[in-house]
Amino acid sequence: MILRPAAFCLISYLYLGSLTLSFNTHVAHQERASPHLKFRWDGSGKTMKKGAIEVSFSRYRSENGVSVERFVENYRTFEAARAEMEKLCRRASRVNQDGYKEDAGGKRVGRRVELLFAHSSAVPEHTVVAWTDSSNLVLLRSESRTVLLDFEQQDYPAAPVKSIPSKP
Amino acid sequence: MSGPPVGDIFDLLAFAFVQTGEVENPACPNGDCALGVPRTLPVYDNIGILGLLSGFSGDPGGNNSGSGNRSYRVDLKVLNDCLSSLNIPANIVDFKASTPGGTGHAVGIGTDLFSFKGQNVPIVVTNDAASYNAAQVGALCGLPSALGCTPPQNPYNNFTNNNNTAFGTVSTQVHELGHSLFKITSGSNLIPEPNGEAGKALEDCVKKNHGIQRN
Repeated sequence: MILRPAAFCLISYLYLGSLTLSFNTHVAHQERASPHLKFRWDGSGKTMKKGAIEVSFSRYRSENGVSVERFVENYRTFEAARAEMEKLCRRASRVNQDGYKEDAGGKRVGRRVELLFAHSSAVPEHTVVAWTDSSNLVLLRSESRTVLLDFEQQDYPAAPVKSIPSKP
Repeated sequence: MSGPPVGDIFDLLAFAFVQTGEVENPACPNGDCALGVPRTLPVYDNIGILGLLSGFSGDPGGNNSGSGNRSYRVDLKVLNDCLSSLNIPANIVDFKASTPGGTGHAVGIGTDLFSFKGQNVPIVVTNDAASYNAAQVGALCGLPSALGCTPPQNPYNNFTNNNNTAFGTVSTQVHELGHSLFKITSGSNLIPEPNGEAGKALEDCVKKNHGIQRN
């Protein structure tokens, strides 16, 4: 009789303990499942490009030493920005994704593409993610696709990218 | 009468680029600098002599842009309203517009996370539009060419190319000020910037609100 409450407490304690353990494991698993790289700022400025009014840029470096460049190219019209994006797509070796960029609220910002540029004599193989935002063309560039997408996710948090539905 | 001998022009250039002094680098509190950050910044007080080369004396920074002796100033209220709208916690109290071949600065008070662990301190951002052309400015930021660069080691001292127009020089100074203040007030890690790029956002806002005005 005396042992019964003690046994009940022990069972409850073990049960709560196992719950806590399971919760901690779950949290640890989440942390492992979605680790974000840390990026350090590596300079910013303003440059020029034929056809664009102005280009603003920033460079970042990931904790594992991979460089990511961000360019915001400003054009006179949305059509000019879109035409520049088309030109970029034609120059790419491969279009990996073609969809829409959405902001954090799920609102569509503009067309988004993920492009692969093959190694050439001037530059190594690199990935470019680009999207239009009214008369701006935003470009992210890196030699590592994984690092680039992680940068995009942190710098421009958005709802998941959807593919353009094919016409029936 | 013929013009000055070539040697005289070079003497003038040499005089203009003689370092006349040094100031403490605001990026180094109590003389403690991060690796690669200079403890002092050079001062070129004779740079105004370059105005003589372009045949006029009204513009202390010289003007090689072909835009006459136009000079511009920046409206502090517009600048501060724009900083506030971009959530950049700094208030500028003095702004000296750069001229092509000259220098300028912005002095303010703000939250410094780059060097002072988030303390509210005076912030001085200088703009050097004298030392480098577009190719050299580009090299500072890892690009073939650039109109402006805010280097990572020292966002308190940014650069504009020395062969820009008078208006282009001031608008680039404002652009770089946006980059500098954003980095100084947010630290050096990746933090999403207002409207994608703080420099562009500040320049667009100041221009849109007619904050760059002719003297």
